[in-house]
Amino acid sequence: MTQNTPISDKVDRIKTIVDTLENGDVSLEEAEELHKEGQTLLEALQEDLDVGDGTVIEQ
Amino acid sequence: MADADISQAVDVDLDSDDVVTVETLNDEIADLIDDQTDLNHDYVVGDVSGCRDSNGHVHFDLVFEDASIHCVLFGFRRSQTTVEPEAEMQVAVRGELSFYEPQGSCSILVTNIVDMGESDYSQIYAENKQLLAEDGLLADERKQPLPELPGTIGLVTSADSDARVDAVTALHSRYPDVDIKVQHASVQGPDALQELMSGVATLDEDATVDVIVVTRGGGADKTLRVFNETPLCRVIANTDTPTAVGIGHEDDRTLADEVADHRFMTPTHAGEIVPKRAALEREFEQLSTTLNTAYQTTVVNQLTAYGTSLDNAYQSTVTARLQELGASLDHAAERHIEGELLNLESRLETAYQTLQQEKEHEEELEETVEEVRDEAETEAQAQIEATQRRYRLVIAGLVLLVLILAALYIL
Repeated sequence: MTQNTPISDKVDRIKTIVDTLENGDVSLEEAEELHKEGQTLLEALQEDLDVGDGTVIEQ
Repeated sequence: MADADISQAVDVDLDSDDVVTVETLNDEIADLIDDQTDLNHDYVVGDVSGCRDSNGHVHFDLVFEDASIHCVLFGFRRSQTTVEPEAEMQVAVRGELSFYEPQGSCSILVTNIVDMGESDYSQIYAENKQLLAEDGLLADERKQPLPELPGTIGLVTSADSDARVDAVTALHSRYPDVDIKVQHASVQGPDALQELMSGVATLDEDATVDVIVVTRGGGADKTLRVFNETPLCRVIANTDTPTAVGIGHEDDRTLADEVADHRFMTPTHAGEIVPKRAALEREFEQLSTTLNTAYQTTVVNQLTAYGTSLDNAYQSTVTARLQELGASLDHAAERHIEGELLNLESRLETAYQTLQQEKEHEEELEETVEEVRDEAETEAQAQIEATQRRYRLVIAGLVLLVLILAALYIL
């Protein structure tokens, strides 16, 4: 996933990670990796929210 | 004609005595219309436009080319007319010409309506739609998805219109951070087509614009017709940038709506092309909480499982070791007992043999004692007998002596 990945794809990936964790078929190491990936995606989503300054430019 | 009814009331010199108020002028127009019988025709033909129901009365504009006149069909007459006016109908209207003095507007108070088929404009509209359809510009497959979260929105509308204010307000109320580039364009009148096309094209060339919004507020159908023009529709349909169009009121539909990638109903609804930032923040916060909870639950479950496995392994190891030690202990105990038993058996045998020997010795002793006793008894018996013999001899001697003495005594 990159910064240009659509928001919905990032959200879907986080939901998949949550499902995987909740299924319980992962080791501690895998769970830690998935958690880190989810946190990274959440940080990216927060950055996605800052799209502009709310300016109105008359042309 | 009334005249000079206000000239004395104003201080400014108007260089004329013929000065009237609006009220006076409207009164004069009303009188003129009432007196002019030439204005009362049997029917007036035109296209129905801007048809709307208000308090049971039907208001509409009767349009022919660039001319229009307001008509009203009062509620009590609706049941008396043969047809109800509808958009895209060409009708012949019978009625009384009336001048509404407070607003200085002329209307036909409709008494009857005759349906004359589709309006001229509805035919033009159908032809335009057919042309666009033949070129595939109405197909759903060619519509682009709108960006989930546009950073910059290009807005094509009249810069000083309520529609511009409503659209900007709607967009920023949902997502305050989004930037908006407003491209002014007349939305009706002779310059509208060119300015709208130019506005859309300009924003399409702007790489920073993520979505183009074309909007205007409601108005008479005639004023919206520019949005049915095929050149404008083609420009909107062929942009590289996704487009969203919202023209007029909720029930107004234009061809520009249909070729756009997304249609929204009114300028106030323009906000729907951006998500609500607060809702997104709540969703992300919820996702974060869910993710952390799932992770913590997984870790706790895994650690609990590991702990259980460790306990089980420890207990298995301890149990196995204890069993091993128990077996060794049992074995050692058995060996020890066997040794002890052997020892005891040996000791018992030895003791038994000793006892046997002692017994034999004792028996020997007893035999010896018996022999000694027998010898002693024999010897004692012999002594006794010897003693007895001596005593007998003594006694016999004594008896003899006594007898001798007795005999002597007697004698």
